[in-house]
Formats: sequence, C-alpha cells, structure tokens
Amino acid sequence: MTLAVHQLAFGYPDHRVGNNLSLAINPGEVLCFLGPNGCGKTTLFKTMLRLLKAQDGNITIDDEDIGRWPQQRVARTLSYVPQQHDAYFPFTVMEVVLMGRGAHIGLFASPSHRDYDIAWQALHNLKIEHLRDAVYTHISGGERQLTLIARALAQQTKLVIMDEPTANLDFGNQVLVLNAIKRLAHSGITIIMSSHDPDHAFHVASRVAMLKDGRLTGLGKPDEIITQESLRELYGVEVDVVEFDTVAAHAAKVCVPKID
Amino acid sequence: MLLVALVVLSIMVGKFDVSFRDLITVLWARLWGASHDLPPVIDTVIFQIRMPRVAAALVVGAALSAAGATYQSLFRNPLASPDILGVSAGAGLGAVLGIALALPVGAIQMMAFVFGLATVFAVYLISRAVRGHDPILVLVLAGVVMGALAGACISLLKYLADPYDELPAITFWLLGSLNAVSREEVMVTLIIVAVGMIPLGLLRWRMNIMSLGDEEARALGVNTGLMQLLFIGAATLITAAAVSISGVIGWVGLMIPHIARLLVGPDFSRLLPMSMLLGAAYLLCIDDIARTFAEIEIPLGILTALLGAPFFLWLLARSKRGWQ
Repeated sequence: MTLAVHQLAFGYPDHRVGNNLSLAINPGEVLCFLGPNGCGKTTLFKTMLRLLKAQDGNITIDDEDIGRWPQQRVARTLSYVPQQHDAYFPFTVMEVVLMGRGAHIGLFASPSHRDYDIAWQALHNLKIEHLRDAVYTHISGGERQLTLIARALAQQTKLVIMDEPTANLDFGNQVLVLNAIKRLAHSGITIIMSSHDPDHAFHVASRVAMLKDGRLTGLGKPDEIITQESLRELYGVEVDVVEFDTVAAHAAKVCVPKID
Repeated sequence: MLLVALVVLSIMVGKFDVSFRDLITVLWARLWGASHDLPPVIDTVIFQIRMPRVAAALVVGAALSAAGATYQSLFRNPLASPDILGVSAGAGLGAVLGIALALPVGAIQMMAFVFGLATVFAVYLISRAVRGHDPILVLVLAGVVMGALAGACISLLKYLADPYDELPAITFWLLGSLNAVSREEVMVTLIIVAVGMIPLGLLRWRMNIMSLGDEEARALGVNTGLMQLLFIGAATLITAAAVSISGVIGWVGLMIPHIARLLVGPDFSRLLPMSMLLGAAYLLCIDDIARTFAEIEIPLGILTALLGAPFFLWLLARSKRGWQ
C-alpha cells in the first residue's frame, strides 16, 4: 500500500503551514520526519489522516484520492498514535486498546470476543499483557505510549502514523518504544513518524524527511541525509555526526552537539 | 432490590401514613379487580398521589443522571451537567413566562419543554456558525451564553412579577418540585425519556471513543459530527422532558454520574445504567425527605444541594479512581 502526497498545501483555515509538498512513502518502510518545533510535522500528519482538509493538492493511497473517503475507510487504512495524550477518564489499558476496533465493528455494536482476541494480540506483540487491567491514567508515559501503539495495532492498518512517539519519555522508555517501532516495521507495517532526536532516525528509520517551515529540505537514507550541514541548516546549531563501531560489530552513527 | 424497597417505603410515608399491610391489601385487590374493606381514601392516596409522585421521582432522577453522564463523557468535563447547554435555563424561562401569563399547569409544562429544546437548538446553530475553533469548546461557551441570556430574562420577569401571587410560584418552580405531578404527565415524560434513551443505549460503546475527543475519535473512524448531534439531541430531549414536570433540580445530573463512575469505571456501557439506577434512587430519597421532613414541602433543588454537596466533597476527598 503506497501513500503519496501530491503538491500538498496544508494548514489551518486561517493559517497555511506548508505549500507544494510532494513525496511518496514506500510499503514497509519507516519514514522519519525531522524538523524544528513548528515546522509543520503534526499539521502534515493530521492532513494525511484527513483530520485537517488538504488546502490544495491531494493525498492518494494506491493512486486513489482519499479526499472523499468516508472516515471509517480512512481509519481502516491509516492509524494514528497521537503526540501528547491527555487522558480524561480512567479507562483500563484493555478498554483503550479495544477502541482501536471502532472502525471495524458495527455502529451499535460493542466489541466481540474476536475483537478482544485482536486487542489481546496487540498487547502481546508489544509485550505489555501485564498492563491489561491497569488504569490508563495511572501508568507511566512510556506505558501509555505503548498502549496507544497497541491501539493502532488493534486497528489493523497497513500504515501507522506516529507523532513524536518518544517525546517526553525517559531514556529507558525511549528505547522500549523504539524497539516496538522496529518490531512493527519487521511485521510489514509502514510507519510514518516524527522525532526531535536525529539519533532515533539512525536507530529505526529507513528514510528521513527533513521539514522546515512547511517545506521539504531533504529526503533520503539516514546515512546520506543526516549530516553536519543539513542539521545546521535544519536546527541552526553546530553538530558533529560521528560514526563508530559497536561491540556487535555494526557501524552506528550518533549526533554530538557542540556545546561551548 | 434496594430500589424496590425504597419504592415501597416511599409509597407508605407522607402526610397520610399507609401501613405495609394496607398497601399489600390494596395492591392485591387492584391486581385481581376485587374489592377490599379499607377506607377509599387509601386508594386515592396510593394510586392518585403517591404512585405518580414516586414514578416521577424515579423517571426524573434517572433522566437527569443519564443526561449528566452523557454530557460529562461527551465534553470530557467533570463540571458538565444536564443543563450545560442551557436546557434548564431555557425551560425555566418558558415556565416563568407561562406563570407570568397565568397559563394552566399543563401549558406551563409545555412552554418549559419547548423553550428548553429551542435554547439548545439555538446553541447548536451558533456552534455551527462559528468556525475555526474547537467545536466542543464553542458549543459549551454558547451554552453558557444562552443560559446567561435566559437567566437575565427570568430575572426581569421575576422583577416584574406580582410579588404575592406569581413570584412564589416562579421561585418554587425554579427550585424544583414533584408536588403537582399527575399520572398522565408522568406517562408522557416516561415515553419521551424512553425515546431519548434509545440512541444513548444503542451507541453506548461509541461514547467511549467520543470521550477521547473529536480528533482522536475521527482518527479511530467515528463520524463525530453525527454522534455529537445524536448524543446532544437525546440528552437534551430527556432533560427537557424531566425539567418540564419537575422544575429545575440541580446537582443530581452533576453528582450521580461521578458516583457511578467511582463504582463501575468510565465505560459508558456500565456507566449509563448505573447512573440511572443511582439517580432514580437518589431523587426518590430526596423527594421522600422533601415531603416528610417539615410541615411544608421543601423544594427539591434546595435538598439536592444541601445533602448532595457535602456528600460529594467527602467522596472526592477519599476516592482514588474517579475522574483521573
């Protein structure tokens, strides 16, 4: 399933964020968006999910314009792991994951045994079965993030959009979530994500898209795209990109900012 | 079980005490169409006065609690109550207008019902007209504004009202009472409330997704515009029906869903029936107190606040799994 964006203009009714953006996302890849705060990552994602109307251009899935799809069909194709999640009600983790089945079950129906099985499988895939009866508002940020990813899995879509899945997490939880993303990618799901940390793109991304002021300033493999020059242009700071050999004998790259 | 016991007790207590044996005798006779040798006044008290009133308390309590639970889930707001979109204020204005025009009781109730619905409809139209903001926020703000407008009109009418005749009636209505409820009125209200409950019952699981907020619900494949319309329409209908026979009874719709959530969690499939059950029982108790505690009847709105508020505070202070 190929999602493509054609000459897209996106933003809010009274405020345009980006113009003339085109790119295609290959099936099975992990595409990571990098860019400073306010560059339009979240707005672009919301437009892809049709939560915001495309102001110009269009978005296609397998060459079909999704502009007129019913919301349910969009939700059966694309799932969304939102950025910061304000929890209002003390639902259990299982109840939250089950909500991922909303696009699949009848209007007046409640989840069936099959839906419970699918939700359980999603918890299992992310190794958080033990959280099943935990109250969503009482678990840690990392656990919540994994719960939302499990919900996207229960939605059973070929494409998952994750808005800064590692934001506001401590180091251990970041690794946990990155591992989960890797596992999802291995199972054949296409992932579109954003991150504040270029290192995370090195860890999980097959391609990187750099976004600044709503424009695409770079697109390609992490090794080729994440460079001293591109990071300087993107974030306006001096960074060294260092390559080293790990114990496991595969090359890894990290970004080391220069601090006076 | 508790509710059944409460109902029996409520039929027995009041200005005219009915013993349990008399009650059974009368019911038994009514059931088999036989006659009994008790004074006919007992028949009148039970069937004409107590039963409609008990039924009204049950229906109004359940209706207000169901509407409160709906609005709290839909608006993700712990302060949401059945009258958040101005239905009570609108109904109040209708009733006060009816009293000021010296209309008969039935017409006053009709005015309250129509004005309540019209107010929420106006709020909904305003929220459609204002674009580019969070739709729920605009809706709630419009509700507050329309409520304030209706409140101002009520104050004006009270100011102009005849202080010996109309003003007490207006004040009494605005504080809520089940004093003058007839059997027919209860039946009509029951039917309207039942109709309003249909979408709430059928869409009970969808409500969970709606309570995540507009954007997330849409990302999960829900047609949020349609859902909002259905939920608001249903909750408004049942609130207007309840308010038009009982007057404005505060606190029930705000407090009862909270307590129900403490007991069964936020899943609307369980929250809705539990809220209705608790609401019915609570208002029945309150009404019993209102008509037995003192020589004159105490308006229900005063009691629900006097008893409800401290209890609610106590509950909040010691609960772990409520709102957050």
